[in-house]
Amino acid sequence: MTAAPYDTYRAGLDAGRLTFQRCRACGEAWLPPREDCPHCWSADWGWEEASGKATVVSWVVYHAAFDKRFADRLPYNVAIVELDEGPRMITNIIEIPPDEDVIGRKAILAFERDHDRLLPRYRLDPS
Amino acid sequence: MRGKAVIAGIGHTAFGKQPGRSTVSLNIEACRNAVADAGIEKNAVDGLLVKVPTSKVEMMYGQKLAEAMGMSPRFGGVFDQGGASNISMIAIAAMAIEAGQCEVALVTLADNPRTGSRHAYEKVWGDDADFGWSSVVAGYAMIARRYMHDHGDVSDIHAAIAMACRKHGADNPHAQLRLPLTREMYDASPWVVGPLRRDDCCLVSDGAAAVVVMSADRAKDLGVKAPVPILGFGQGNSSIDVPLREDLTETQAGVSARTAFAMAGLAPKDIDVAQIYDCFTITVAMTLEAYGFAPKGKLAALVKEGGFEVGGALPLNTSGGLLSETGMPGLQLVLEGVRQMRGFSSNQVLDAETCIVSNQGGIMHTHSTLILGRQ
Repeated sequence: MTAAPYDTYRAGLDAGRLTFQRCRACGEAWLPPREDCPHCWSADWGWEEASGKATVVSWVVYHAAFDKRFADRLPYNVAIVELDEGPRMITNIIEIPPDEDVIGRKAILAFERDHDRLLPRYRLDPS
Repeated sequence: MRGKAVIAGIGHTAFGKQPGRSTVSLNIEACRNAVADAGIEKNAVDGLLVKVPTSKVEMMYGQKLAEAMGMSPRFGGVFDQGGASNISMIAIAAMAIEAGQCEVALVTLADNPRTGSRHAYEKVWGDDADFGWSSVVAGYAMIARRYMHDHGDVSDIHAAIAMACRKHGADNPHAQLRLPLTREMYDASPWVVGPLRRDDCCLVSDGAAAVVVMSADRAKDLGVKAPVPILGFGQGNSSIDVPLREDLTETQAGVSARTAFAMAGLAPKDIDVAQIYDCFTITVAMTLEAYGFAPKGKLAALVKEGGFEVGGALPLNTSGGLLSETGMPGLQLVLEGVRQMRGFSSNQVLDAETCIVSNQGGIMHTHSTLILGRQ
């Protein structure tokens, strides 16, 4: 039996590698992991490793902890980034400058260990 | 289909806290009031459509409710698009009646997240929970941040929307929150998930609302006193999850509205009053633009023209909306549209002949539009 796509993705993260899926039929690339191509519905796809370069699409700042595990971190940010290869993902920006619009800024993948897991977070590209 | 179906009756419960009441009981109270308002008997009803409560999702809820009401409806069940379900079910009822599947349908909504579970609104988002990604409000905040990046500071627009809803709610004796909002109060309102403030966010409420749908001919036969014609309806489903939406500020609301306008033979300029789903202020701003009331990013001009209060360029949410009347997901907006067309709103728009109502669900995943007219 083959591993569920998310389990393979998570195993990559645990090894410090960010991967995404690409369809062999139409070339579409995507995250989060799923069983079929969301563009052409093909089940014929493979894994690729991300370059780690991305762009910020949007971000928010939590002032309320709906998830109690984050109560002592307020305020904290959650962001959407778009990988240079196309897929989008939810992440956190490490050291986000206050009062600055970071949408459109380039960001670089930076793994951090948190909640006993390696998490793919991002730092803003200073250049 | 224009004008072939009518809303013959409306009913609701008290809004706010309803401790110890089940959603089945709340639905029955709203249906009892809607049937009485239509002036018909229970045995005339042969269709029952209900939105599943957010506080507790269960299979076969439509049949559970029918059983509690002692009904075996020809046509009935749950249709789930979150908050868009209400208007979509009114449209489904109208189409079912036209197709001879039933004659008189109740469309009803009850929810009790205030005293029951708020899990649906505060839940963590699956595998992304490790990043702290949780809650419905954060999804809307993601959209709002991108909208502000694309269109500049829109706090004047958000404040104007919140202030209009709260003013109208203060005038509505049934409203849960009857406290008018000043600009100073809005600006001092604490962040929940930035860039959304507490006063950008709707109430959390228990309660129920119901409408009776039938053909205009049937309403005449049954001697219904104040039937309100359904001129148009439509829907559109973005479906794609917020992080993956190619343009975070684009939804299918415009598709929904254009379908409804085409059926009604009307355009935005023909609309006298609007009830726009206001789970968050950003939702109203984006819906009004998608509907064609202002070009994208140009809503500020409408605010300057007198805004959204009765007497303004486009009076909206005249019973207070989700921000002030009740945070229940949507059907109460249709009830207020019916009151406007009957001429008996607590914030009546003088000589209003058309009302547009929007419902939407998820994080702008679903959208449904209804256009009502005057008898």
